Amino acid sequence: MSSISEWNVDPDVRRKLLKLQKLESNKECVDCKNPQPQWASPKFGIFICFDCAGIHRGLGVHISFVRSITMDQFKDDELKAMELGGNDAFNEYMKSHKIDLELPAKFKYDNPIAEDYKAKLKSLVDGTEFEESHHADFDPASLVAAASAASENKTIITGSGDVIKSTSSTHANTPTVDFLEKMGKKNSERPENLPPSKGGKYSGFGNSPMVTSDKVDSEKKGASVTLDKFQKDPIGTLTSGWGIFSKAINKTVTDVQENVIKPHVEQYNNGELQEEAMRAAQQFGSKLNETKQFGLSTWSTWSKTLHDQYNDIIGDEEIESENKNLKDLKSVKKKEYEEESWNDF
Amino acid sequence: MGNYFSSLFDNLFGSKELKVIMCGLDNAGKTTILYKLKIGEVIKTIPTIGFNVESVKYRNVTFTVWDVGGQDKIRPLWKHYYRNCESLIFVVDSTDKARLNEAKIAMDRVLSDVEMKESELLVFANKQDLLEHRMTVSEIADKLGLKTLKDRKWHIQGTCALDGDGLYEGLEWLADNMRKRQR
Repeated sequence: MSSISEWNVDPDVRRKLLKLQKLESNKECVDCKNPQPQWASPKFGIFICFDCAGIHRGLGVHISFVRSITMDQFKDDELKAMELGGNDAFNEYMKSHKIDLELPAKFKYDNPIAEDYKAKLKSLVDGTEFEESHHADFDPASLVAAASAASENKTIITGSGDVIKSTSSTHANTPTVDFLEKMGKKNSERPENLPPSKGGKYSGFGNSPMVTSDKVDSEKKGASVTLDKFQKDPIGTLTSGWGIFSKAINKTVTDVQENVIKPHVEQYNNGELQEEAMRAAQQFGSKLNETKQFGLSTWSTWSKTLHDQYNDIIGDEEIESENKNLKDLKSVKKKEYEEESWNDF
Repeated sequence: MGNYFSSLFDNLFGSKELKVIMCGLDNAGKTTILYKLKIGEVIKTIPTIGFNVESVKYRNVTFTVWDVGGQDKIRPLWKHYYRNCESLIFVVDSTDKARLNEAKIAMDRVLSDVEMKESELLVFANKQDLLEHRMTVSEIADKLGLKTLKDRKWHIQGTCALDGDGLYEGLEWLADNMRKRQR
């Protein structure tokens, strides 16, 4: 919980940005001329619209880094870049270096000239000297050719994309499974010593926390309590599933404490209660083992014992309200859940 | 409290649903991953304002994946989606070196929430296909401080959402954990 950055937007910065955006040159998206652009690429100091923000994001952060002028916190140098840059400055620089402003973003922003402009803007912000490099081997016209070649390709892709779409809908139930399995199989066959982009394996690793034998035990047992098993063999399941119940008691006591007791009995501390409940649970555990042969009657013994134990701990009044509380919760929990989550919106 | 009963309910009836929240900084690739999982295609995305939610069926597990927007101002809204989430998928842009620490802070903040105490963590180190600009998976794991998360089940997976690489391994890990829990 140490240095947590503030997840909010400095209203001052926002006001400045909105003011900048109202300047004549920044009133429309630098790419598509849509009015009122609410997004920006501080690396270029330009204002862009929502749709073009999507395109810019797709270029990767090494080319264009997109911020929302209303929803993102600009860093000081990013704000300064917006102040010193602007759509006009960008357009002029690109035009003077013979870059066609109508190029698709992928070509317009990923070339040596655009890199230069980023560097120029950065040195403006930092107050350092900018030295323009010469790109003798770079011909701006090549971008146009590349772009038109790509757009031809694109139509083919869209064409086949449609075909793919129609075929995939015929077996709509399993495309994800099929697809993922195919990808997984493919990945597992790749060599591990290469990076993914050179045909190597996409690898991963992780951690499973060490658990005490106690915890493992109760988790194992807890997991085995299912409705099916319980119906077939109530006692077996119950005894083997003892862990989950003692766990449940602990948890419930904590919950009850949070919701019921705390407001009334402030001085009761959590540890004490849990300890008592645990002791109660242990007592009952041995009792349950003794009375296995009595079948379902253990249920009532259990609840009775539990009830008594609870009474010892909390007293009659509390247990009543708590029982009621639990019952209510159980019966309406689903409905309540939906309501709650909608209220949260 | 309700949280607990709901999960007990699910355990009793053997429901194989897994609620997953997918967070991460803006432009990490969350929405692209979601729709790659859902329809197997790369869609043209725009910044997510609010959230996308899709259920993705994989084997016998239904993943309900909440993909929430990553802009600074809307990150505080993430907490409203934490409830009942068994798993957190945290997506990192492997090429965004400048903001990896910001990603770590965001991730720690999510994990420190009391509702996420029990949830397992799957980190997708996305955009691994950009060789020149990416950080390696272990580099990201280091910088995110994953190895200091001793009490949490975590897994980091290199991915490329455009091709779908690595997503399978991630889902498999989640489904596997779920099977272990239910056994």
